[in-house]
Amino acid sequence: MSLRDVIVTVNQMEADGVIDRYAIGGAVGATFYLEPIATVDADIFVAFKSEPGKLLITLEPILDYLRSRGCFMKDEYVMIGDWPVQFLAPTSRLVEEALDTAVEIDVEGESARVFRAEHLAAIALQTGRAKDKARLLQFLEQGELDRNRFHEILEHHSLVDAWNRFERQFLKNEQ
Amino acid sequence: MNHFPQKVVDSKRAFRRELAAKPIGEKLRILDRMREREATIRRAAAALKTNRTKARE
Repeated sequence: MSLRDVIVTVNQMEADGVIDRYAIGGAVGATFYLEPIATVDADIFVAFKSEPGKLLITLEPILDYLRSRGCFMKDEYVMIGDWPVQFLAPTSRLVEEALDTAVEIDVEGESARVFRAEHLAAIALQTGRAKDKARLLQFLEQGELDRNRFHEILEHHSLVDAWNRFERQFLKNEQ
Repeated sequence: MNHFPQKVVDSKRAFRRELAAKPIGEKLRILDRMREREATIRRAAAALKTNRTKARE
């Protein structure tokens, strides 16, 4: 089963009301804008349906749905065909906003909802691991960012200092 | 000091742009193949580690 099949499955989950809204992030999301980025898993961010009378959000409805379609759990992943998939709830206002403003991109006749490039870049800056910084550099190098929108996001989510540090560390010789 | 020839840097950059410009369906198929390759390498590495451990025992 291919990544496109994963997208078909997740779209069906949304159509069947198992999840409210989803968007693809991480390396798979970045691949919509950049060159293919090696990854072992697909990150799907979801707005979880809250169940009446329950305060905690749970993955159980998603897992039940997928199990009934032949998927299974492996470590922290749900295996959808050959792909380990992580269903993630937004853990910050930045990721919530990325989910709310994600865009639809056609994948050979199947619509996929994906974080905007500017949000993927801002999340990479916020996360700040070596591979995230490398990804942010790729976004910049390939001219994939709307600089105004990107800087608005940085200001809105208090990431300007982190951006200034990143600029000093990686971009001082590029200007 | 940077000893990396500019020609190589430019050529890599051009290839990455070429890959980025491919249709998304094609790029996702490349990810499918990369993931399969990575899984094969991980299995081989795990088997190698197991064999080395057994050899030491």
